[in-house]
Amino acid sequence: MEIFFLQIMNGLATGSLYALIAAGLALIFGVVEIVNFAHGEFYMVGAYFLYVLFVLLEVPYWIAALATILLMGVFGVVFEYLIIRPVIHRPWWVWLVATLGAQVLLLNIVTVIFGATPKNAHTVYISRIVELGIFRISQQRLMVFLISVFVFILLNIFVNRTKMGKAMRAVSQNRNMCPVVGIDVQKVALVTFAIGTALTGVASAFAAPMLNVLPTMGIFYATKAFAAVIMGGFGRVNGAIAAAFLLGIAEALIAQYVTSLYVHVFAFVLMLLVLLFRPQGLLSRGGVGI
Amino acid sequence: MSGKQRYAVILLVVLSIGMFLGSCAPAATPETGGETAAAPPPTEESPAAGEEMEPIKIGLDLPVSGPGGTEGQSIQRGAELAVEEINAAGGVDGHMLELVVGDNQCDSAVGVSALRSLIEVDQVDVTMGSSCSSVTLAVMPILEEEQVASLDVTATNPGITEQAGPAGGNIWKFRLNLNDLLMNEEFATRVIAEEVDSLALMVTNTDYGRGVVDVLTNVIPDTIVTEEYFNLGDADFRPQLTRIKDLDPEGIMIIGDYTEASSIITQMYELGMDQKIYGRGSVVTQSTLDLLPDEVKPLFEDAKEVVFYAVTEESADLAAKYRDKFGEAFNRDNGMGYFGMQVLAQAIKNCGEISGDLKADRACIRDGLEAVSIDIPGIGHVEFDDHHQAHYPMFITTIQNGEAVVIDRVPTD
Repeated sequence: MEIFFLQIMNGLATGSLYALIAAGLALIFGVVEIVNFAHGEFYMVGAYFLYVLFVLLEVPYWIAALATILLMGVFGVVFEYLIIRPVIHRPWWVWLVATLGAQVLLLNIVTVIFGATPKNAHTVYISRIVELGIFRISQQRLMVFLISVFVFILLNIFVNRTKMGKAMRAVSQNRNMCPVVGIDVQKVALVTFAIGTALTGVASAFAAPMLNVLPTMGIFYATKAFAAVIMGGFGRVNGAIAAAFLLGIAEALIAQYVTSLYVHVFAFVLMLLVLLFRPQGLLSRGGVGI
Repeated sequence: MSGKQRYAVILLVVLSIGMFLGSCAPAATPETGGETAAAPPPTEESPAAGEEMEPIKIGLDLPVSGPGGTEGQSIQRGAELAVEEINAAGGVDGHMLELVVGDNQCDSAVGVSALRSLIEVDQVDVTMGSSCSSVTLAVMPILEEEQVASLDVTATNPGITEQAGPAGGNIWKFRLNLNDLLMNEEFATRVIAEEVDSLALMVTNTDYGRGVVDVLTNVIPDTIVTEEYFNLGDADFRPQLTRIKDLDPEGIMIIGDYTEASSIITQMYELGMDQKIYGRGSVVTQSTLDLLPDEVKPLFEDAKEVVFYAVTEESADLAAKYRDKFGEAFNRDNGMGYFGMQVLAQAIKNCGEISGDLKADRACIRDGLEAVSIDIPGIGHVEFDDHHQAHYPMFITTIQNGEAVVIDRVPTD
């Protein structure tokens, strides 16, 4: 039984990182109605921001982490302005190609600048271990989990309590009617991209020190984030967050009790089952909105 | 189809692609070997002044993007350094070498297209790659069909050697690097069986990784307590390591690349594991060491690996040149890219006259490869056997006082 709980904890730790990336993806999809195929590369770009600030410029970690989140917010604004805005009213295959193109472009720009060799941005927190009974976890990994929970609470407060959050919900429910009641849809899209990208920046700032920083690092997490977004009910932010945690736990338990050989296959079988039996998403009761 | 259903289909397609990318096979680990000179083969004849000779196109069939991109780009840079030196010395009998890259993404389906493009569109004379065992195995029939020779420098699945050369049936495939069968049997009996009674395997989920497991489970079946798999590009290994920790083996063998190895070792530290570490791929290397946090490095001390090339003093000048040119440490993949190009240069030289008839030139270079006999400082003497497999002593590496060092070289003949 001990090992069961250890794997649940492993799954929660992994799921929190999936969730940070999936939340931004779901938010952008829910409000802007664009599937951003470059989202995994946002995570990678954020990691390189941290690497430059923390390692190359030797900025103290906490300042570098905060700056990374802010820079990613700005990056999201620039991305929306340059890539999304010109195609947002075009047919779906246009934005599909635009975001796929952006993905390839970002990956190659970073490769040209930094090379393909992995870098590291180690902090002191990755080798400081916290022991919670039988469970051992680095302070850095625990930080990712706690900060992700904190960020999700903030996000929910923002979406439900603030004027802009309510505008985002309105756009997600009926984009065409929003201008009638004075909502600036373009501004909402811009803010959504900034927040969605900053969420990825949070993942980069706190998870990158535990991982190798390299141009292809976003592929793995983008795949998992897409799965979580589908399971959560397209564009449902809380659904995507819950699905991401579920995915992390499912992977850990499958590795323990079934086989690690096909752990990713089982994860996507889970996704297909959700699509088959609960296509509206895990937490959704139907309808539209984020 | 409704809008959301359409999105679902799009996402499923992308996810499927992602899964395939994640499961593509990483190539073997490069190390050096060779017989004759450190410098590229000398050119005997130079073209007359003002005479321009046709360049010889060499296709680099490598994963330069995707999860295996790090390895492919490293091989490419090693090859570029060699070609720069060869061309600066007048080329091969006056022919400049020209590299053309085909990105196989370490994916068999993409690899087939990439190789066909190199052969049919770019019309290369010979290829080097495919780096990943899965891709190499998938494209070998194409080499035969198109009659173009290919030299592998890092893929280690024994199946490639079994199928290659006059003895294997595919006379167009050659392999410079040692294969898993040659290396793992010796390593398992000489090192692992002598040091630990129980061993867990952490294996990259590819043809390469599974090939290593096949050999080990045949040679030391009673020692292996579990096989745990991960995909290329994975970053979280705690579930597999938690399972291994519960079994409490004396040793853990990481079969993969230094990128994943560094994360695995860091997460072993996090979980409080202190198993003796063994490696296959490019695990016990300076590259791994450089990616580890300082506090974790003692766990990596005394780790051991068998490799087909490790940087030694013999390659010091080459390593310095590489660092000057690219600003990064010289590693296994750079070395194999460099040495592979030296071997191809000699094969072209052995060929004699390049006629300009593509089909004839391709066959001539293939014949030239069969006749290769070259000493490469750093690895030793290289000739190909009847399976087109080169033989030179393998390297046993370890970590001593925070540095990756070669502690032994074991003949593979």
